[in-house]
Amino acid sequence: MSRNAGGNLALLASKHIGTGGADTKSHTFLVNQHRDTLASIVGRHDHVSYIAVGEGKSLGRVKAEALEGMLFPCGEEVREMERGCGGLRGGGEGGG
Amino acid sequence: MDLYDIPLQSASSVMMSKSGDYSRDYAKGIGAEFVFAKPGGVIELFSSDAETGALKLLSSSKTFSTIRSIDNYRVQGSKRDQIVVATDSGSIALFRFEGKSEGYAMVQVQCEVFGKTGVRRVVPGQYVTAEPKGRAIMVAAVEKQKLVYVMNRDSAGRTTISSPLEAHKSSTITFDVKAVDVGFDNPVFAALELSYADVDADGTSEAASKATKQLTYYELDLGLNHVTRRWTKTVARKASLLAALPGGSDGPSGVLVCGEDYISYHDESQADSDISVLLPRRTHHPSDSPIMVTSVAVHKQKKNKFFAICQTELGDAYKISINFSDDKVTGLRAQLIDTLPLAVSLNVTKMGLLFLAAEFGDHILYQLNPSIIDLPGSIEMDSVATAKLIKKGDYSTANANTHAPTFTPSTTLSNMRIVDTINSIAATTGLLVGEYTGNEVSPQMYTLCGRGPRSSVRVLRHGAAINQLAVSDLPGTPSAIFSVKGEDNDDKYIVVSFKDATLVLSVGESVEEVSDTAFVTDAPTIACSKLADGGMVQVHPNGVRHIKADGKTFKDWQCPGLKKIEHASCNTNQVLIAFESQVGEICYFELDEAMNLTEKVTKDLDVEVTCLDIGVIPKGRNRSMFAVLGGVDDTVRVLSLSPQDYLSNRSSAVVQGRPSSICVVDMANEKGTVDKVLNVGTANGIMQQTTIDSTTGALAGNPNKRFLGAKKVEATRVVVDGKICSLLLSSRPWLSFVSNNTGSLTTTPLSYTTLDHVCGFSSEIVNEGIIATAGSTLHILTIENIESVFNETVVPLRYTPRQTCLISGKIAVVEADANDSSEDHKAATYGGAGSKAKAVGEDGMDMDDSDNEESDGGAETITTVRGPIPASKSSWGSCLRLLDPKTASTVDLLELSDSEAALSCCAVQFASQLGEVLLAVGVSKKLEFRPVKAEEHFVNIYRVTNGRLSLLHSTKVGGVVLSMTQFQNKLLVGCGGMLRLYDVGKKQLLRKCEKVVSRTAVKCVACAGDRIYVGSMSESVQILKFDPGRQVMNLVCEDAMPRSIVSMCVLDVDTVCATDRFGNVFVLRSPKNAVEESVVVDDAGLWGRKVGAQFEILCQYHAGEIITSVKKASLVQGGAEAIVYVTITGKIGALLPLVTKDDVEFFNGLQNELRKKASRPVGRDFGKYRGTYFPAKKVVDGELISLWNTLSGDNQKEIAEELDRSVADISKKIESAATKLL
Repeated sequence: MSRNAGGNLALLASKHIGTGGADTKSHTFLVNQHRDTLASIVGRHDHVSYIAVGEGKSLGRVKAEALEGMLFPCGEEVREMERGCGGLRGGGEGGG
Repeated sequence: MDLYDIPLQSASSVMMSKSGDYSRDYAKGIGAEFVFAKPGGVIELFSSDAETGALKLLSSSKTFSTIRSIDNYRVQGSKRDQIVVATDSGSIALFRFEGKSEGYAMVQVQCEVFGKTGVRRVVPGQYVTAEPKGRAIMVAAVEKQKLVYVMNRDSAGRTTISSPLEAHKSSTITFDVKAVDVGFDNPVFAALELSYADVDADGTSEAASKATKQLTYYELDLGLNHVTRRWTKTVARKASLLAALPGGSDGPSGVLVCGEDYISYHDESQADSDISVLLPRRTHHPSDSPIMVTSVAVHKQKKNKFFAICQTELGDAYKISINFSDDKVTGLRAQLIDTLPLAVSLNVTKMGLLFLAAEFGDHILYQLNPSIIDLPGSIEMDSVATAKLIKKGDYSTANANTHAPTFTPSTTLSNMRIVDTINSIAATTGLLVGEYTGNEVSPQMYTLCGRGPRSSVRVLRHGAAINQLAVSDLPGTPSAIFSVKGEDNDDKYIVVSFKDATLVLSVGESVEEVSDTAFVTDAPTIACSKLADGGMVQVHPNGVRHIKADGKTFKDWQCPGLKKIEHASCNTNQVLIAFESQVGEICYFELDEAMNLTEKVTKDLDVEVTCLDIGVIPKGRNRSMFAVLGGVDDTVRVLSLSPQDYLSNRSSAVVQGRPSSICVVDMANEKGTVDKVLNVGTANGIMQQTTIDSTTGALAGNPNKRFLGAKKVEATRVVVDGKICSLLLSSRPWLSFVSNNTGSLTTTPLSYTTLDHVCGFSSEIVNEGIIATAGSTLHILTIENIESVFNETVVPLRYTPRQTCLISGKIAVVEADANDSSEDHKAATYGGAGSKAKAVGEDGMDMDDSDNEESDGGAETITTVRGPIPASKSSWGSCLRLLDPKTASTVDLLELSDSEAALSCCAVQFASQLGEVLLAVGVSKKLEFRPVKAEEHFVNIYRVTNGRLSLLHSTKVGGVVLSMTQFQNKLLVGCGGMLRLYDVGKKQLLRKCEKVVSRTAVKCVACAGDRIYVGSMSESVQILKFDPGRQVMNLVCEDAMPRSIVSMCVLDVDTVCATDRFGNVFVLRSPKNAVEESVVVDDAGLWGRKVGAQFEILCQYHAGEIITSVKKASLVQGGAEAIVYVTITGKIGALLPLVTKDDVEFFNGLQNELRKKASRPVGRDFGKYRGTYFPAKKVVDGELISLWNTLSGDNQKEIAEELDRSVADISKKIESAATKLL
């Protein structure tokens, strides 16, 4: 990577979504984090099952809702970012 | 601490299934074939029997990866399907199934790496779809990336794969990808996409609400070798599923887009048309609640004839017929078929079989009835009517609710019937291990299974199940039992020997006593068999009786002098007897050419004989070549029976204990040859197995030893599943056989009472049965499912089980379902419609329901139907249940009110309650998710009197109660992020002390002595110490990692085993100095971290699936203690501690060698998979070790040399570690 330092770094950053920089705002960071988390959940059948059992929903709906959640995961940006976004926080609470 | 992860049963849930022609071995009776991708990286091939439809496992392979998607792929011009598998390995792999002599194997065809490993949002693998003509494959990520591979064949017919072509679109979330059937035009892939570019740029929720979902066609230009976005159309906002319709010369092409409430048809050729059909709705379904389509399958019958079957999230299956002319679709029609359990995948085969891979609970294979063609009288809707009713394409849920025809779901099937089912214990939410029935030897495993109305408690017992066909009383206690075959290979007589008499039963349509036979009946029988001349031989203490073929005449051989026969063994040609003597006098008879049983030779062994066996005559021979005798000198001897050297000694071996029974079994091994397996049972309950060389009679060294029980062992030959097996009786029966799955000799217990004597049995009615005696009763039995590790007893539940605990010898289960309402509420609101649907097998709990069923003409409930769904989001259906483990039945059931959800339970004994054990239940009122909120949380205390639950009082607590435990005669409750200690009062619980331990919620609590162990949803595990003087809890030790705990068990005072939400399991130990520091300063350090001792990580391992329960237990009486776990998807495994340094070195060495030598099916590195989240530490991967048996002989030899051991030694060590546990 050291060879590519300089101009290519910008290219790499654009290729790898979510790569932060010095001026990345916490909202952007959180949005990326939530999208990463949701994508990881959708990709794991056991995790989808866990949420589905907890919330009494079908697997298809849990997956679709997680994917829909990726659109606008943290709501509008607020000046003083508080913890806790829409997301799936505590989603599997009832599960086992 | 070193652990060895032993998989006991692989995951039973299926994440995706496909049907196709994989082996095409129709000659072997294979009908339809199905491939299942299972969580934990298992791929299985099942076939349905061409005649009976019964499902059978053909092959099971582990990929050591997280499978995300699979699809069928057919090479151009081939008649067989292969499968393409996308995993978290950053590559796609192609496999084909090959039939081999020992079974079917999954063989890698191609494995092409394209990116990073892991389940990441921009790494392709989430969706994979193959073009129907086999020309291209698309692999897509959740976001942005899509790769297209062009497939070809080289001159040798091998599949070749091109470098990937990119079809990326940034800031785009992909919902589904399907290959469009376009015949032989350029391949086209349809993708359902949602772009967040505008939303991110704008950043307002208004922009988010305006986002549109697009259906995009990607075309692979085979000439130019690149992919273009060819066509885009805005579709329903909530669409989430695509199904490709047949195209080319077979149909109109295009895709069905399934979303909420509607299904629409889209294709580029009909870009402007609006063809959507509204799905009929259930009566009582809330008006604002959309119904999502969650699975769809297209059934191609023949040219231009096809339909789709789709299922909604409520379980209703619809047939979607497509009207078309000149390749233009003119309309859709949706007709209700039946209500089925929820599916993850639906597969329809050419023969009209419908396989339903269930989300949770058993998977079902259905046969569609011919009525599926026109579905007379079914509720239906078509696209023309939809267009008339709903103007301007306003496809909203409100409109759907106003205009859709309604129906009441039925619990019976009208258009299909069940052919076969595959057991599944998913979703497993809890586990209890222990011997709670009071009359069994080994502990049972009580698993909480399933979801909603398909929930159950399944009692798992290790070993095969025995099916009891008949039991009858005998006049006394038998000393032996034999079955004697008639002319055809069925048994003609059952000979029961008593102390001084013999009873002969004839086998016909019934089993009856007969007295007109030529058998000696006033003496016990020692051995008995059919003879090659059509007659029979009976050995009794005073002689040998040869009954001639007519069954009336006989010839006796009398014992010389006062000698008495003590042991004997016979087959159709040979008889060997041993006299009651100190010198071990034995005498050998053979059936000569004149069909006379003649004495050939006698011999003194110089040692008293305790047991003997001459085995059966191998096919094509006229005598068994060896006899095996056991003596009081604890030695077994192999004697020759060949005419050259009658009764000469061939080999001998010392056994551990006095031999009590010997049985030589010719077992077919995986190489297709036959092994002569010698089973020696000893008086001290040990079974030893070794092989006899079939030419020299030499005994192989290193016998397998196993303790079977406290009684002396009796070994017998029986036939089960067409295989000759040995049945070994001790304090419980065991079966030893060559497993189809592993190809090695396996010994498994049978779940049945103690049997005294047993023999094989076959008749017209019972093909492969056994007859056994227990005390003075005679049992006719069959053995089932010998390959399955556990057998199940199912107790149906009403709602999803959440937690269980043992209370006064009973098992308490709390059940709760979100989005459901109580039985009473349903009865009041819907006039009992709901409760009737639910009454499934509820063991006569609801009397009025069983009345209803009778008036319906005995219509049996086949599908359990959930619902009606309540309108309120905060409504729950919940109950408490008491089960009696002895009878596996419900003793009491207490339904909670509508908005209450029981989530946890615990048995507690308060100091002030005079030793009475009370049941504490954590209840939440109006609990809702996203965000999590509730009106109030309670701890209810119930009294259990005579198996009845009664509410004592209810106490409000501050947060959701997910776990409780008894701590020093008080109740320790995790409520929200708080830990509270309660004592009991007259009207409510009294708070003694509390401490905030988590920002989110406490998931599990446990205690040992004055220590408290807390696992929380975001702060991992903490150890607290209770200071009784100051009545405070002080932090002793915490974790540096912010793990999200799911389950936990305390191993010792300092050590905890816990699992997290990402499929990891780990063992944490508090450092020694943490023990003394009972009071830790609880203020924040420089960086906001608390100052305190931190856990040392002893073991860490990625199990692959979320483990929902860990328990420290031993699974057999006298077996090693291990950490037993169950996963949400129904996998059962155990972490066995490796105690000796030798074992640790051996297994780690073997694991290292296997990581190098074993082939990686999907390219995922074994070690990296086990270290997906944290580096794996000190846990040997048992699944990897099990690959040892699949290695080639050369590889095995190389590894053995590397480890400085013999190949047989390694096999034996692996085997013995497993038998330590089970």
